[in-house]
Amino acid sequence: MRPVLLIALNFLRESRWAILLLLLWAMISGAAAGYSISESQDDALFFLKQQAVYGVVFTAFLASSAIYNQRRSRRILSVLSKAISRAEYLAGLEVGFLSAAAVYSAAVAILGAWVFARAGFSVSHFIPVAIMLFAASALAGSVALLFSTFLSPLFAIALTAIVVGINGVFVQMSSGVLAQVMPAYVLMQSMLGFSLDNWTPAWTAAGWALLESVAVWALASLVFFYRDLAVAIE
Amino acid sequence: MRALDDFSLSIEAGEIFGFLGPNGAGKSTAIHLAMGFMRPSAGSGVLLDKKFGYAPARKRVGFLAENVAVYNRPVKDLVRFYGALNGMRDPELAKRVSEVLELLELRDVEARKASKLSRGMLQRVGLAQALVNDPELLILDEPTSALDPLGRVAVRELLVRARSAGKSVFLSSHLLSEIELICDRVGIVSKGKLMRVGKTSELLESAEELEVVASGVVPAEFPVAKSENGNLVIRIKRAEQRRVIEQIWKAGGEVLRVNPVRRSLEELFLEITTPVSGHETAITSGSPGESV
Repeated sequence: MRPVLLIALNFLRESRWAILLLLLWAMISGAAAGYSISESQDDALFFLKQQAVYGVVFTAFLASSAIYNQRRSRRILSVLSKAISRAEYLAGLEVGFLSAAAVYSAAVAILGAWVFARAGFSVSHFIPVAIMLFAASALAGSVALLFSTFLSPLFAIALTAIVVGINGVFVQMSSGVLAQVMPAYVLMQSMLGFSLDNWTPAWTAAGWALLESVAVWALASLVFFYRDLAVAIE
Repeated sequence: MRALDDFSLSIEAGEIFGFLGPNGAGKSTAIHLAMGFMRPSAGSGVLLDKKFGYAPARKRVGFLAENVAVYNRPVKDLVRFYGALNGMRDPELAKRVSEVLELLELRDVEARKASKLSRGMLQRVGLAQALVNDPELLILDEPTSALDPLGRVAVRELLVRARSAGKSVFLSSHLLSEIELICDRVGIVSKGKLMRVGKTSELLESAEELEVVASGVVPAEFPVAKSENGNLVIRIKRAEQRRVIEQIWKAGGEVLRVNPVRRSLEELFLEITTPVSGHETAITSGSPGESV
């Protein structure tokens, strides 16, 4: 477990500027939304939903380039020359971007609470949104990581968008088990439908998304196990 | 095209093995297979009694890749990070980090970030991360290519000390003089095939030519001989040995030494890797597969 945490921390350290930049953006736009709430509560809600969508997309981008960057710089060789299996390595990356997603989700909930504090809402109103956001980010990130084990970040992100988007087709076809396959679309719909008075979180989809993230990580580990890591010196 | 073909190699415990070959010969491929970075399309191998790619076995291995690539953080933190990845914990980790920083003369730059280091210093950092776990087997790909002469001597001494401590060293290098100086055995690979492997001394000794050192004879009697420290040194084919020795005795001379002619590793390397008449012949070959 310790090597996984070390790799996760290392991943966060390497991605710290991108993560901080996104958090900063969320804070600045949150401050702007805070001032506009007196004019329109809908505008402030739109801000919150917009941040949630950014979070999912950002996590997918973060995950899709993790392996590529390490391979291109050849730093992956010095890490995997230690007593670390490829599954552990991927688990480290997974924990890394999940931590970033968790921090961002929490930040969105706190910002939501701050923006709507004057309207009498506390942070507890926004915790379910943060959980939906985290689950959707976890799923999108895991799928992106899976594709990045054998594709460049650009293709990985394109395929991730397709796979995550397919859930929208499944939802049109069935409201049963099929709708819970890669339920990122369901979670996004749930987040975009968020309102302060009458909103039911998609708990089932969130649960499935987290479970499927683990399954996708296992599949990614299997694929990565068979991949050659050596790259030509640039 | 096969990167390695009909390639079989084993490294003994407590030896320094030199791995040579021209660029693109397959040296790094062989190393990457052993480290589990790549998978062979056919064949198999073992690293410290475990199949290639078995992660826990790498706990006992130190690896330095060609062109060191490490994270941009202070040297001491970096070495600690790699040690911790290998499962080391304090106080053992702190002790080892301190030892390798001292050993590789990195104390003065331990707080400096990797991006601020020269290529030579970076190579020392690479060696430090390879040595931090006190490995049984060191796999080093061009470990001294960026070092100054003093640094090279220091690394050579370090490798010799490692051998004395019973550790094995697999050393891939283009610095033939270095290999010749410290390696017990040498393997030469060319175009993916292991062309020759054996003890360095035996490989460098010619099987066909001898050097006869004689005294008390007139150089005119041996036109091909050269004079060295008042003695005559005659280079002959092995088949001529008896005739030449008898000729020296007849001339009233004395045979001081008869030794196989010793080539330099560079001469041997060029002989093996330079194509003759468009093709080469493998002298040593084994069953398909790789083993370290």
